[in-house]
Amino acid sequence: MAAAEQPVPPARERGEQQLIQHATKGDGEAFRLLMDRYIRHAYNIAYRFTGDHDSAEDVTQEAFVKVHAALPSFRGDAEFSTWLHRIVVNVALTRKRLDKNRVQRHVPLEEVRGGVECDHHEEIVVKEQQAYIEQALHELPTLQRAVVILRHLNGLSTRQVSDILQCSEGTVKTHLFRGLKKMRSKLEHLQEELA
Amino acid sequence: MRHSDVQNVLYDFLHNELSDADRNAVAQHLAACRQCADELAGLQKTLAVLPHPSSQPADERDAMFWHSLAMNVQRDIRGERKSRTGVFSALVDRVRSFVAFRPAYVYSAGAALAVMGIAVFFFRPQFEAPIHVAEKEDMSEEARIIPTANESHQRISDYFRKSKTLLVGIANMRTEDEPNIDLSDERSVSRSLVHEARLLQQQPLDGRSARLIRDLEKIMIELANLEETNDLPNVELIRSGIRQENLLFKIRMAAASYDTSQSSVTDRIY
Ligand SMILES: [Zn+2]
Repeated sequence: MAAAEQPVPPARERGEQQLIQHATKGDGEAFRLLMDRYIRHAYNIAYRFTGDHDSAEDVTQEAFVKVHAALPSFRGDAEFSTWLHRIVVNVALTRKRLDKNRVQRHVPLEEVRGGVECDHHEEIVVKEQQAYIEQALHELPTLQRAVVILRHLNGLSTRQVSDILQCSEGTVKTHLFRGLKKMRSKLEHLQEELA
Repeated sequence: MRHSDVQNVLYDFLHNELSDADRNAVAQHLAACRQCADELAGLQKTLAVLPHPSSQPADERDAMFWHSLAMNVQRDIRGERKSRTGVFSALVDRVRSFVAFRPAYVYSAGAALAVMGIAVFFFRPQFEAPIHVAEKEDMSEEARIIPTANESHQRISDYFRKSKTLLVGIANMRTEDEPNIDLSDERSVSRSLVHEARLLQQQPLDGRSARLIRDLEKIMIELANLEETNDLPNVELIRSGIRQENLLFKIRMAAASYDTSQSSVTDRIY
């Protein structure tokens, strides 16, 4: 906005450290560029935790507002992306807890089947599969769910996940294995139910 | 290696993320241990049905979405938007304080519109009296419209035309007997109009059009943020905003001034 008469190079050309410094001092353009850099990652994580686009949008929005407010407390001893993702996860988990008190978010499988008014068998199968997976994922204990989401669905490394969740890499591996194993039994159970 | 040690790294084993030494140790264990080999097979089965990390939900959203999401964040940060309807409430409040001095005109016109929607154009005489004072200040600007290329006039004119169509549709929407109105079209049109508004704002505009485009942008963002269905309270809020701001009338005026087929702007409006 007021970049025209500034002697510093345009925010676009600055490194991440500089962007963070400027954003912390209230430079809206710098914060905007940080957002551009991470908003899709944040959204992907939010979506996997909440299970739908609207909630993912809300969580992403709320998380970035929190990120902005918390910028002065960012010490730089963790990666900025790790720190940011931790905030996204926290917002998503908080929202999930609130949602539980609201309505049952997940549509019963019978409705998924009945609601699809088309002859495209494949489409129905895909929808059913998605519903199974969502349900299985959301029935996992919180930490297992978080690990499965971040490590597998978001493709982060064991190290990154351990930094985000602030637990050891060993814990990440154990929870990943247990979570995926639990999902497998849930998916098998659901598939039998349908057959 | 213990079974549990092997099982905890099966995921890494499958994804080739182990050191050579670990990899060999795991492979050796698997060759000899039925239990762990079964776990590996089970893991592969599970991963096969899970969404692949290469397809991410963010890919389903377009550039406009990210733009408007970032805008919403920045607005929240500035404290202008406490909730989804925040901006709109502010807009409505501002209009209400203006309206307080002339309730008879505006409420009767508003009530008529609530029923008749599109009839806004035919109610013009009723609108003109209260709006005239406000619009009058802008008359000098009207004469100062910077002449730009026909193409850009056409673009602005198109923008106003599309906005008008959308808002007339919203004003006419029958919400009483339809519990589940599908708003996805309104949302997507609004998104593209927000995008267009931002492009238009980068070119020279007369003051009145610039303000109108800014006001419309706020409404379009509200519309773009509606839930796909069942967001009738917000639709009502937006409708009352459209009425109270006399937006359809303002659009009509602005559109006329950008109508490229007209040589004289002032002749057309007055
Ligand atoms: Zn074993």
